[in-house]
Amino acid sequence: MSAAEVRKKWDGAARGFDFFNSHGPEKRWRPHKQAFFAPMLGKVLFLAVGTGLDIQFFPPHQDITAIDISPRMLEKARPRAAAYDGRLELHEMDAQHLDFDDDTFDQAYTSCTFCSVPDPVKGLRELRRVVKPGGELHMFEHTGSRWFPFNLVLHMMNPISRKVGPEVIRNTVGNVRKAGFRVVRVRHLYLDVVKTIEAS
Amino acid sequence: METRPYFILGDLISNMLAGAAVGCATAALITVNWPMPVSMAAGMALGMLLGMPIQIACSLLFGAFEVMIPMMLTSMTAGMAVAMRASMHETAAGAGAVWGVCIGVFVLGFTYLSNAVLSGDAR
Repeated sequence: MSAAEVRKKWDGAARGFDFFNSHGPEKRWRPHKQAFFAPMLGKVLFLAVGTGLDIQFFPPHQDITAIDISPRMLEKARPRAAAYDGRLELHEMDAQHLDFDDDTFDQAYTSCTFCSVPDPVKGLRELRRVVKPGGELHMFEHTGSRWFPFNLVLHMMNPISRKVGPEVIRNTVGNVRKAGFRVVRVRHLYLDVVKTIEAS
Repeated sequence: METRPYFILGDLISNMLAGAAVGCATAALITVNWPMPVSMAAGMALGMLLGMPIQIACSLLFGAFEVMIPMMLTSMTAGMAVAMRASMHETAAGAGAVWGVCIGVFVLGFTYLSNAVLSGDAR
C-alpha cells in the first residue's frame, strides 16, 4: 500500500474515529495509557497522533513532536494539541520517511501505530535513526496472538479490519528486533494481544 | 485483570447478547433435515455475520479487543453449537437463544481465565 493510499484510508476514517474510539476503548485503556506515557522525558517524538485522543494522557510540560500521515486526522488533533500544557508540535509526515535529522530525539512513543504502517520494519528503522543512541522506544500496540483460539479469531477479523483500519495479526515485537532495537520489556495488557513494548 | 464493574458487566452483557442473537437466528434457520457439517459451517458463518454489528455497537461502549475477541468467539461458537443441535433435534428459537447465552458466559469466562494467565510481563 502506497503512502497516498494510507493517507486516503485514514483521511476517510477521521470523521468517525472519535465516535468509535473516544468512549469504550479509550476509557478501558485509560489506566494503562496514563502509566505508559508517564515516563516521557526530554525531546519526544510521538507517532501517530491521529485525532489527538492520547494527548489527554501526556504528562504536562513536555517537549513533544507529534506526526501523522493524515491531514484530516491532524485537523481534529489541533484543538487538543493547543490545549496541551507544554510544547506540542504537529506535523504531517509518513512514519516510513521521517523528515528529521539523525539522533534528534531522546524518546519515541507510538500508540496503535505499527498495526497500520505498510512496511513496519522500515518505519521502525526510521525511528531508530532519529532516536539518539541510548534513547528509548515506548510502544502501546496490539498484535497477533500466539494462542488458539485467539489467533484464529484475529486471522478471521483481519481481512475486514485491514480494509478500514489496522491489521490485527502483526508480530510487532519481532519487527522491533528486526529493525535493530534491543527489546527491554514486553508487558501484555490484554491476552498477548494488547501490549506495551520498551526498547532501546 | 479487569476489575471495574462497568466493564465486567459490559463484557457479560455483550457476550450474552451476541450469544442470544446468534443462537436464536441459527435455531430459526437450521432444521433437522440439514446435514450436520453443512449446518455447523452455516451456523459459524451466520454467527460471524450477525455478531459483527453487535460487536461494533458494544465496542463503542465497552472497549476494543477486550470486547471484540470474546464476542467473535461467542458468535462463532454459538452459531456452530446451536446449528449442530438444531440439525439433530427440533430446536425452538428461544431454546437456541438460551444455548447462546450459556455459550457467551462460558466463552467470556474462558477469555478472562486466559487473560489472567497471559497478561503481565512476557515470558
